[in-house]
Amino acid sequence: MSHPDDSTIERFVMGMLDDDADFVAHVSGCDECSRKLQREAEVELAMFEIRARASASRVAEARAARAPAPRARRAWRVLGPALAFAAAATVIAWVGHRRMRPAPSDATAAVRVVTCPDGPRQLECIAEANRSGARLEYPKDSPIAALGREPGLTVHVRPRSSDGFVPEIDARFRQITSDFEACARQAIVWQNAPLRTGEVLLSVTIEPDGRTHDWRPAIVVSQGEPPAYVEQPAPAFDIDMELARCLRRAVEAVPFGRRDRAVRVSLSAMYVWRE
Amino acid sequence: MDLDALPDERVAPLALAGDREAWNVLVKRHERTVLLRLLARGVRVDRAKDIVQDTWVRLIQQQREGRFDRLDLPGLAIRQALYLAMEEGRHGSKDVSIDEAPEIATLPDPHPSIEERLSTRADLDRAVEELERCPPRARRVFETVYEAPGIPHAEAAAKVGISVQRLRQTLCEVRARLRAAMERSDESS
Repeated sequence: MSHPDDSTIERFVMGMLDDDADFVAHVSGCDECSRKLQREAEVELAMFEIRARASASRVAEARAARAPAPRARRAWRVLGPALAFAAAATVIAWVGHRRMRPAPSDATAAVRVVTCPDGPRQLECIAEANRSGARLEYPKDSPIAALGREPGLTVHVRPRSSDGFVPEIDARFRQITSDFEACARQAIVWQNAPLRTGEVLLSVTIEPDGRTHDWRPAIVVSQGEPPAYVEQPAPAFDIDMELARCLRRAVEAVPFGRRDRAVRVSLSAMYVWRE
Repeated sequence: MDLDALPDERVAPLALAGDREAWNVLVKRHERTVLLRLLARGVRVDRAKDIVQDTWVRLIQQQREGRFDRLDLPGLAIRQALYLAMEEGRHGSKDVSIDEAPEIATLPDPHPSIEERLSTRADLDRAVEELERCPPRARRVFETVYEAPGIPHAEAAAKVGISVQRLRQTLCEVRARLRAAMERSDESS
């Protein structure tokens, strides 16, 4: 068989080549065709990503049309170097955000909003709010905000330098056994790349009842030391469903007794794109 | 029960319980993705096809031995396949399973490196914009076929209400436009 044309290679990766024996026999022994096939496989995988992005983009546009969320936007503006320790996959963030936070709608606007300050009655307050269908809100300007700095469970993962994977982090991860950190480890292994401009970072606070707030996504704009960040609205983010599911399972697996205070989650970014 | 119509979340527990038909459905859905991931990593196509077959055989064997408490696909299969490819390259043998090498469970999915090389944000954004410029029916064809890996073209064609031949022709046209959009950004970067 002579070199297959581009169309044949394309049909192979798209699953349209019914009889591929001759094709496989030739390409297996041909460097030039193997390179073309590799590239075509990458393109084919990108098609799934494009499909997911197009869908996510429409969802984000619909959401933005319904609710501009001015309070959240203000929060982005105050973000900056404080996020140096707070990072996670964009991906995780946006999926978690959509799943765990009530979607803005006319219906939720009528729901009573309560805050449950830190203290001996916090759990009771939360339980009552849940029973009555009220929406819990985190009092950002009250002393309870300190929960973010001294949470019941904090995961700070900062394992990468400008040179890439930091060896000693691996040993650190080996000491961690909870599902949650296993997800973080997976994220880091996936990443295994140097911090770079365009990388997405995120932190989030999870309330004892599982609700989330204080999403702080940002994008690295400078690779200096410390890196500089610019806040980004969540709809710009991408989705990695597998990791998001893993993270969500892990959060749900944290015993309620360990969730008696707000949980501040900060993970290193694992999703990178080039500017 | 028509397993083909069920989502992975419903089929995977059946496969975990040893249902052969459930395994067949999962293999059919995900084998092309696993193959593409190997090819995108530069594994030769003949080796890649062998590795894909070995991957499923090993996963089913390990399920029978009760090694899994859940099946996250295609991630698990990709990791197993990648590991087999690595071992084959390293030792000339791919006779290793998750059971013998538990680190497979945390091996990196090749996805990020693919994205890094090709599907950068700018590339993808440009392609998404191009997709929005496609005629509605062409968009529907594309979105139906790429909604999930493994959907047969005949099923996609039935959903859209066109012939398989027409679906494939449309798909190639849309794909060519999106590819051109991505490559334009490659050239400009």
